[in-house]
Amino acid sequence: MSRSRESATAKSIVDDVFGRARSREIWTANYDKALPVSVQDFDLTAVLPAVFYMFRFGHRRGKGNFLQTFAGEAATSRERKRTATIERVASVLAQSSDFTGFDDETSQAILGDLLLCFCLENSKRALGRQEQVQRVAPAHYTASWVDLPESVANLRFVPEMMVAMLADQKGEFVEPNRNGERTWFAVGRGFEDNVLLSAFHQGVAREGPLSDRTADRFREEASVGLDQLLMIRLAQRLGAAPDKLRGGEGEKVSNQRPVAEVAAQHFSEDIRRFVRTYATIIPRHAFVELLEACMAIGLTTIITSTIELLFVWSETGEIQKRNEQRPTPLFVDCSNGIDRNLRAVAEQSSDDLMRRIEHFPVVLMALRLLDVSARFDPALKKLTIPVRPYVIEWLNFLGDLLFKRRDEAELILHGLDAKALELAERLEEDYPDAAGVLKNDNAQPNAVWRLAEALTFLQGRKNAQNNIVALLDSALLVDRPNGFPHAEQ
Amino acid sequence: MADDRELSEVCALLCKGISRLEDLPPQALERVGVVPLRVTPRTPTETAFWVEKPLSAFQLEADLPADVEGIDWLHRQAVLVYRYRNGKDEERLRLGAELFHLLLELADGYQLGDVSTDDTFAHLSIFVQRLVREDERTLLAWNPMQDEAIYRIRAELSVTEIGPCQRMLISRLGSGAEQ
Repeated sequence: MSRSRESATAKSIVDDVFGRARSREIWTANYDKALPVSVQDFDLTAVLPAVFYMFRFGHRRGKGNFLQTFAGEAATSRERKRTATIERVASVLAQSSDFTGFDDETSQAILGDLLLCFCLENSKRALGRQEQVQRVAPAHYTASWVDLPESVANLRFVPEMMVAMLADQKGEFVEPNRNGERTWFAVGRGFEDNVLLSAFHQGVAREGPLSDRTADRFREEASVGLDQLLMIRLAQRLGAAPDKLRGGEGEKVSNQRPVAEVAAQHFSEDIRRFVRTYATIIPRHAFVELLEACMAIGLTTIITSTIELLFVWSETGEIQKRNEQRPTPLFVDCSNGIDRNLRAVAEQSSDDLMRRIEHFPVVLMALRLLDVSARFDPALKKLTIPVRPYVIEWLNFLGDLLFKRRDEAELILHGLDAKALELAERLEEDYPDAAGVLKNDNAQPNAVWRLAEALTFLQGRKNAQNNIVALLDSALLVDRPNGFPHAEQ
Repeated sequence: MADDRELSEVCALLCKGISRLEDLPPQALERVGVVPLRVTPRTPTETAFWVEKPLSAFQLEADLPADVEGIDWLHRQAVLVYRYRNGKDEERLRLGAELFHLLLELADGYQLGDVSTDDTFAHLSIFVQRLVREDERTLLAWNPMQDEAIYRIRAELSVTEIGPCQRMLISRLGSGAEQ
């Protein structure tokens, strides 16, 4: 029997024992109240256009006109997406009166390479002009008009988290700022009220209501670089900014911040200072690369700080106070491994982080189990403990349940004990190892940890660890020119 | 100390080294009186893009310490200065001994085979990108489909009946340097 088949069976058993609604919340890799991104790989170099859109319009990006404008005819939607290639985009643009001389094969190849050079990126970073276009680069604010990737959720909620951290609002969702409200990163206001937008909107001004998706107009007399002009022409070809996101996931931008409050605040301050200081000094290409590197450092610190905080929570049931919060210490050898002692310390430090990463999925699972149990409990449901913007109070409450510091804990833990026994019985035949973990209350008396261990095991522990490593690698821009080099094996 | 002619010759060699740091087609390197600077793409492309700077805009200066009576000092680094076309502003790159000699070796035809030189080139990279920004509305291009030709791409502002309008133009260049 294949592993995926086994997992599906294990999932169905968990569905039966916990019920579909609870199982859906438990059987995942994420806990977005503490770390509001999907725990898997993402492309950091593709998030800025989505961030521009959310700041400009105050909601999440939905469908735009990229495929409609640049894809060819095809039988299926998938095939149609494949026809949206650099070659085709260049050929459509070349026909416009804004482009002169791009008539033959060579000049259109050059136009296509200009697009690859500054504006667009192929699927899987493939080279060449006949690959499916997958991402848009932040050459200019108008990149936010290009609906790539097609679904904003493919950016793993990183843009939403960034907007929430930078906007620094108090409510459940990130809302448009009122006129005259003092902030560095205004939402749904003019370009000038947002430090990030004002660094990228050269030559574009709003001529119409804020909500108008066609109100942003390029002033032809403005002097902009070829890279920016190309992006502006590409966006103009689309006719309008994308619609807001409609359907299941909702248009609103969650104001959920990472539990690592200090790291989140540092991220926001670093971006603000960096953009304000360097946007006009450093050449655009270098600026974008350095801004991405700045984001990479901030996001990596947020992830490692979250890991550290939740480890302390797993031992104490409390989130550390602001002045105690630290990222996971990580010693990096910058000597290219030339110095043996430095290399040894770096390897030891890396091993320490990997040990935490190995156990981190279990901690997240424990949080999900307690969260679901508390929210579905009739008595606890009445408590109104805020989870946004920061989840700290709620996690301290869950910690009190875990460590039996509240009267209600007995009932919750008893309920989870019963679930552990029931699950162990159902898993006995096909998954004896998981059943053994669930039944062994000598090794682990607390049912939350027994369940967390067993469920993580059933999900595929290696897979869960790999997802966290992929998340960290993505945050560190591994193997990108402006990121970390890949570690040698 | 070297005289002006010697300094100009070394300056030209250093500029040649900077041009050879990135992969440029021979046609770009053969043009006389100009320093081609490669534009680094986000994704590697078949077409090479670069800008050209007049060699006469570069100048080499020795970084001499302040005079102290009775003590003779030798300079420890040189400064490569680029004067922008507006005649007022300039860009300065400090060249330590390592970078100085690496650039001369590159000009001589040596190739880099050591990643540990990345740090040495960090400031040079920003220096080059700042110079490239001056020509952000003009680029030169070479594509292997027409490997004898060089193209110029530029943005041009014209006034039409409906008002100002910017177009992006491409044209094939003749041989010889274009200033």
